[in-house]
Amino acid sequence: MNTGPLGTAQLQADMAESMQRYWDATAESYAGHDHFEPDDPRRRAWSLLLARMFPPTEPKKILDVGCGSGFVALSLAELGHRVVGLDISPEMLRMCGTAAEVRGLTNLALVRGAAEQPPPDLGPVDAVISRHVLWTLPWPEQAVRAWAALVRPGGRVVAIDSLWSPQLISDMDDRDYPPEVTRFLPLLHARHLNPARNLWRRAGLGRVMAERLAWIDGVLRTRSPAAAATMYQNLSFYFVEGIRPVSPRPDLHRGVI
Amino acid sequence: MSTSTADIDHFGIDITAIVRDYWDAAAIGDHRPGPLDDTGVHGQAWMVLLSRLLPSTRPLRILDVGCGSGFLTFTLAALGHTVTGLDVSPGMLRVGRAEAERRGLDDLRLVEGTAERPPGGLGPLDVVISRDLLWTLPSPESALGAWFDLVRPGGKVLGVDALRSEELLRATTGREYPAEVLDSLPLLHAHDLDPVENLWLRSGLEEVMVEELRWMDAVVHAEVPVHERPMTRRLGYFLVEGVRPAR
Repeated sequence: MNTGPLGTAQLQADMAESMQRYWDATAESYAGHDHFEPDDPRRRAWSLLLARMFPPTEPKKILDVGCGSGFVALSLAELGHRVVGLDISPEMLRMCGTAAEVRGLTNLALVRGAAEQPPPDLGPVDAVISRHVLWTLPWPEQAVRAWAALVRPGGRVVAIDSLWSPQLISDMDDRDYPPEVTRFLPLLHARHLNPARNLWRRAGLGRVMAERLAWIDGVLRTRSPAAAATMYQNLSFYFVEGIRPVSPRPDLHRGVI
Repeated sequence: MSTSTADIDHFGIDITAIVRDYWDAAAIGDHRPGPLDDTGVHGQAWMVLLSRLLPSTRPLRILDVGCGSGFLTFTLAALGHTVTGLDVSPGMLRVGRAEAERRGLDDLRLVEGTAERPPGGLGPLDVVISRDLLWTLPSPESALGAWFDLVRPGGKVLGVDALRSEELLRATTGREYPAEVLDSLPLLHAHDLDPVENLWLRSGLEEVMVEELRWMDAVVHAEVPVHERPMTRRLGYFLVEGVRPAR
């Protein structure tokens, strides 16, 4: 089923194929990249951030879109939330499942699917979260609309991503992402938070907030080995969040123009 | 149109006529528009952007203001929308009409008129869009007022343009428009997006959003010939959009 906008079906299909091929080929190295040991201060910082967003005292049903090897999904499950991890890559899901088993987590389910077109039966959930997914999407509005449709009225859509330095972007090559997709990525090239904030507003979400995570940046830059610390100097993390209105106003941004 | 005196400002300068003459000359002179490559990377970038911002599964009625030789008009038509192009320059429209004929786009309308006082019979529309036009408007508030009236309640007014560096402005002063025209273009001299956002807000549009299009800068920069890159490096594309309130 093509739920995409008029006239771009072929372009979308071509890019989706490039992206899928990339993520399948990358699964193994990617999992190593973000794997922090339990006592790593960087993992602690991320976990504290997630606990602020989703306090363990209020257990929620949360969908982690593009869960990859489970960086966010595992932390949220450890905080006691019921988590569903969604990812396009079977290899990523396999690694996430193994990690959940090792940690004895039974409150994490894994589903294969695309961030832009998640299976509709995954909802309604209390919240949708994603981390480092926005930058990978050539049609991010489509994805955020789909996420907004999965949360219950009053539920939250949250994303964590980063602004990339021009240096880091120009250093990217086809090992980092398919070049035919990279050049069209609005969030990869963004230097401010407006492009992210506007995605949330275009999806009809209310109380839209975005802020830089200078705190996380600080921990990553000071507590990482030299090579990783240099990389983190070129990233600044942020989050954006919004709430699905209980009674949405009729609005053209969501495709019903 | 050409005999209208309504555009003469209170200093006696008819900016609209000067602008029209400039683009008429450009349509046949050294600045003749290049091939309308809406299949290459630049064309694809516009397809992606427009499909993101106009996520409709049915054709929309769209007015492309300042269509020039029709790059955006043809891209919107290729996406399946029903487009009318409006431009002040008959010379540019001639280039566009020849291209439309070559492509067999019989129902594409290209009409002559100003952005501030479009001819009647164009509305109601789902979308009014402009690309690389805002900077050249001497009276952008009047234009926004006209566009607001043309879209239906719930319809969208969308603009894409670029911020230009001081350096670029100094280098081109007098070469494109005469200095007295450049002096009277408020958005040409903008350094940030506040003047643009305020323009949309002042017109009564709601859900107003502005953002820089850094990815489009990179696409344009990579696609132009190398001798144009010093110029494109000094352009910062942006978008602005808003919705006419439902009531």
